[in-house]
Amino acid sequence: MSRVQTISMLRRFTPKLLLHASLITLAFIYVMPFVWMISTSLKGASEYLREGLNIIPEKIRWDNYTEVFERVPFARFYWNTIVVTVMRLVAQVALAATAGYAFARFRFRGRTALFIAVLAILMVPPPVTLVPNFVIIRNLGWVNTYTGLVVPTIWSAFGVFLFRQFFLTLPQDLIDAAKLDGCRHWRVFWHVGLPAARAHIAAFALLVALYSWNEFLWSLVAVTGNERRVVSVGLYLFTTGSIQEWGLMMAAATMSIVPLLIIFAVAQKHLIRGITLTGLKG
Amino acid sequence: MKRRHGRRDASRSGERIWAFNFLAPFIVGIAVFYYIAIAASSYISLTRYNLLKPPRWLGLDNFRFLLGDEIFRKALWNTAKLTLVGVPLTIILVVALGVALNSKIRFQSIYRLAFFLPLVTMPVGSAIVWRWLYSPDSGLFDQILGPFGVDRVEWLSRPGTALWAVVAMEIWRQSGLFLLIVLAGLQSIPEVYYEAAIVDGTTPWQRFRHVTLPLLSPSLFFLAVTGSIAAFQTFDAVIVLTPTGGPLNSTRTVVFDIYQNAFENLRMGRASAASMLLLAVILAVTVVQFRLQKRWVHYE
Repeated sequence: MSRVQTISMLRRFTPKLLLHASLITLAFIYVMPFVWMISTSLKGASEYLREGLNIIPEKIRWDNYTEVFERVPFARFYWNTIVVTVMRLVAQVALAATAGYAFARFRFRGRTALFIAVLAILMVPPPVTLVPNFVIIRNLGWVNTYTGLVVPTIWSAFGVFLFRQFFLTLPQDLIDAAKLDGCRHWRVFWHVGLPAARAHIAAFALLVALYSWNEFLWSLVAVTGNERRVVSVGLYLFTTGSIQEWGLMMAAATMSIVPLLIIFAVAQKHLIRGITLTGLKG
Repeated sequence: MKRRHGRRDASRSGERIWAFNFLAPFIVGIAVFYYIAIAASSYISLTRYNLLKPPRWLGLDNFRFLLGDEIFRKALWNTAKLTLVGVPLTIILVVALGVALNSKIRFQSIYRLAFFLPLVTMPVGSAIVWRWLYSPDSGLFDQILGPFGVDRVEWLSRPGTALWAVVAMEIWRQSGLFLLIVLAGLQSIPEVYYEAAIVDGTTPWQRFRHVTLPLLSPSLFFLAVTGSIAAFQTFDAVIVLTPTGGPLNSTRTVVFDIYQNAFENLRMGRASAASMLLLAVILAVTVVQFRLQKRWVHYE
């Protein structure tokens, strides 16, 4: 190869190489906390407190994982989180789909005003209603119950908006045909509306699952005992001890993120679509 | 004619009943957990209330106290710093990343996966891991910086570094989410604009400046608004990284203050007053952003 050719090759590929080099560096930084988390979770205290950047432990030990379950009822936390997530998922989809359908497909007086009242809550972030909602569930006797964990957290104006936009696009012919077959409103919704909205339901359900599994502040105040505690709060309580047992904490952290990683791996497309949908209409 | 009219009325009233059936649960829910809750909160904010004894009227004392209180003012200022630095930095980072990833390079999906990972990780979990990374001596950051002559930085116990340590983690955690929105925005820009710009003999920077940025501005506006609202609520990261609100309250945020007042000190009145102030600040910032959008956001 002549020198001229070499130089022109360099010209062509250097920018690409630089781009890849910076992307690899950045991607490495993004993944490193996970690698370090898993690595520490498999080490004993004597090893992780010693300085040294070995990612693969000298001897892989699973003791931290089993110890998490001995220290706290982690399995219980896990189960509670699953129950709460399933409850939120079903409730949120049902509530948002019916309300969205009504706003899109029924005509009634006050529809616009009501819809604005729904959208207005988008501007009220959860911490603002933390104190009054706690007072409410306390008066209802819902502290330390699944109901108390779930009911105040299932009102998604975004969900209503999402389903309304979708049901607006549903062809009127489809609905008229169902009505000719003698379907009443409920059955039109059930047999025509919902099946057509499958993709939106999947995307929205995944967003709810993501939110629910990771939710922390409300679960921290709505539950005071281990009986109804969820994973995020259980994980947090590990940090409040006087000694920092990093191996144990990293094992618990690893276990807390695995379910979502699996869901993400399986349903990446739906999840990404759901998140992208949140940004479409501002 | 008359009959048809009657039938339409009947179907209208049927629609009304069904609209009621479909909407009632949701409307009752937001009425209780948003509208009544905010009304209750505004009332509680004017009282002294510790959950055990009935609320006692205080008038505006809680607000007066908070606005004059050094610690609460610090919390407000920290929250503002976190938002004003964290959100723009995240946006700049993801725009660069988005443009790089959108340029048909190889291994795109692998890179993307790396940036999306923090997105599905529970914030408390990420924060615990970062606390370990930040820990002095055996923490990863100190170990990496050690050979460069930096020894033993107590990232989370120094007033000068603690807040920025929180910001760094939040940027890492949020950028996957931001990146998704930016990538969707970039993909919606028609290829013909770039082709036309290339025919006109523009440089890549000019194309970025005059084609990409303006057409991406609605996505960036969305990120600025929702990102600020999220940043104003920073709590999980703070309570895990710095359980006491940091050295000299340097990482205390408004929501941290609300939580501590309400659930550690049982000062529901003061916490409610702080919540009302938070709501006011968020509304004000959102209104200002919508006002300013005419200056820089281009809608086709």
